[in-house]
Amino acid sequence: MSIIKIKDLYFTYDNEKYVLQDLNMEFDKGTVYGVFGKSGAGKSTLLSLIAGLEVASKGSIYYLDKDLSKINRDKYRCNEIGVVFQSFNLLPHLTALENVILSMDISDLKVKDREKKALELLNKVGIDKSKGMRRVLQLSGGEQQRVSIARALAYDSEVILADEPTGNLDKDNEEDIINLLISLAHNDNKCVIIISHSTKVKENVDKLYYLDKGKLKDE
Amino acid sequence: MYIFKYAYLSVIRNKGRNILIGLIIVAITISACIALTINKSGNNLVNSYIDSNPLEITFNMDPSIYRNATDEEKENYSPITVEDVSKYGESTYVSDYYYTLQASLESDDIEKVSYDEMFELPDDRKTTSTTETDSNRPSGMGRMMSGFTFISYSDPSYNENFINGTNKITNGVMFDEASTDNVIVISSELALNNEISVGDEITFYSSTDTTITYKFKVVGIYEDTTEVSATQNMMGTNSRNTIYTNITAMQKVLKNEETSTMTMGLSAKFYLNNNDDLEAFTNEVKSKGLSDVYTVTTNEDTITETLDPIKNLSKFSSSFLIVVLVIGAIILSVINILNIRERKYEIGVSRAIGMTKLKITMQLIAEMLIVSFASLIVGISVGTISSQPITNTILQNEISSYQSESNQISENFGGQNFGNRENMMRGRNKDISYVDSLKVTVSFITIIQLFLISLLLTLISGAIAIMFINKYEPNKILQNRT
Repeated sequence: MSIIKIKDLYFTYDNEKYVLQDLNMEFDKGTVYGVFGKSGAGKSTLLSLIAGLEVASKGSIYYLDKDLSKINRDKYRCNEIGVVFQSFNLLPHLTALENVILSMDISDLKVKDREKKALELLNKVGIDKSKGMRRVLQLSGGEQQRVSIARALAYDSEVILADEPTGNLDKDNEEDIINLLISLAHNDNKCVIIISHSTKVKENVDKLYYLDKGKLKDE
Repeated sequence: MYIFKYAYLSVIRNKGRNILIGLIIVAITISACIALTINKSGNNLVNSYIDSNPLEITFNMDPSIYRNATDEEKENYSPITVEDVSKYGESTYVSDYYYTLQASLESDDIEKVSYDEMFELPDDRKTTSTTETDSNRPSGMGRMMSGFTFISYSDPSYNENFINGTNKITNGVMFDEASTDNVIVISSELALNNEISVGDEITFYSSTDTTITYKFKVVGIYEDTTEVSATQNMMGTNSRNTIYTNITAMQKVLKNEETSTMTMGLSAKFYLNNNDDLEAFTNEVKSKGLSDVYTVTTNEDTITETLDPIKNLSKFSSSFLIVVLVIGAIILSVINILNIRERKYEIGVSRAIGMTKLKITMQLIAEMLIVSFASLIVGISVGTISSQPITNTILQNEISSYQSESNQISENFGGQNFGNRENMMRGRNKDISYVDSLKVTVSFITIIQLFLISLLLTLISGAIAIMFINKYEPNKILQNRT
């Protein structure tokens, strides 16, 4: 059973022009998916819909066979799905560690020693304790993106959505982050969906989707 | 709850923003603290002053009613007697009462104290100059009015001159309340002028029948510190010639005097258990036979006027409090809206990772409450320290403005000797001693009120800010960011 299933999806912001049309997609655990397309093709909108930040105008998105439009999407976002943004979207007044713990606090996760688990997650993505105690603005872009991935993993979500995760990073960091995301799918059995323009991502993902003017196309 | 943890972190890590909000709340709290304290203390003072100064009720004959009455009605009018006063005093509305009896007696043993003797005026300014045609009169205008004024109190503890200290026994003693002997207390000037000392006896005689004489023994001499004006001397009201005696001796004298003298010499004052019972008491005394020619007079105006500066201060503080709260609420709302706009991104991120609108709202309110309560503690501390000196300054300004207004009117009449006429013209007592001190304390209730005000302001400004949060969609915030 696919963990995420998109069926006959249409989406419009203004009820006039569909940004996404007739999409049918399936995403499984243990696989890295790449969604590619030109700017304005609807990639980020698709990610917002899968993340539960928007609701389909027509058609449905299912998470474990549950229609996202019919479930509590706040709970879905804080328990079932992790999102990694291009601009990291960390809370600047908190430390890296606190950003990760915040995600645990918001979720229904029952963990006794949250700080210990958060430090383990930060270690996993390559952030040591001393960096973890810094405010996020004192970290480099690559480090912030790692923290952002650690935050997405904080509540053991099965799906990781990454919107241009390497868009603001240099080449070395780009490679590290891609490898990290791939290892999450291959080693930790997560479903990783990456929206990107990057050729490097294209070369490394397991399955590719290509969007053109809101429609799926063969590459 | 984690919300408070992140609210606290947000407050201490965004110091600049929160210090600004805090300073505004401190300013509001100080102003509200002072206004509330002044208002409460002022109201307490007014209430306790009114409670401790019960209405003084007197019945005075109204000449206009008497003039307009028919002859038949005039015959039915009866003057108030001591028996009437006792009857009225038995009313359940009355907490206490007293009366004074006054009579005028002549004496050949002693001479009255005159203005000239007191101040040794040059001959051309002596008040006697206009009356020198009457060779039988001793010098001094005091002699123009016949007799010495004898006053007795049914309850000597009501003798205001001795209570407020303008009169003070300097030699001998004040006669006992239960004393029935013919004893008197005279002024030191009267004693000095006539070389009288304690233990001496003085003979007085009736002003209507010189054959009726009374012997009084001097048991005490008092010092009179009141200032005597030329006008008072001319009117023969120099208080140095006042002689106090007991009520029994006075009644003996009045028995022999004409009825008119007796009734004119009676003055009674009643104090009620509750000032609101004035009308009921008036009805009761009317039913007990008080003639319609008498009107009820109280000292309410004097009491009220005494408290005017305090009342004005309380009124001003109430208006000030309202202005502070309205302006404070507007400023805080504006700052909170700007604050929320500035934190749009943070709200978007929190929403994107699953934080509900309710929890974000709660966190923002918790932040506001933390800042509010911290500012409240500072504000209450500063307000407590500064409320007394600020109250003193405002009150003194208030009293000064009253006094300068009063002095201005006095000057318009040509100086202080026109005090009495001025009083008549304005109905305001020139010599009124305003309550000039207000002890303010920040009570527990005031602190609770300030907490509630702070909570209210936080919730009002928070509610407006929250309306803005609900307008934000996380996806749009984050898309705009990227």
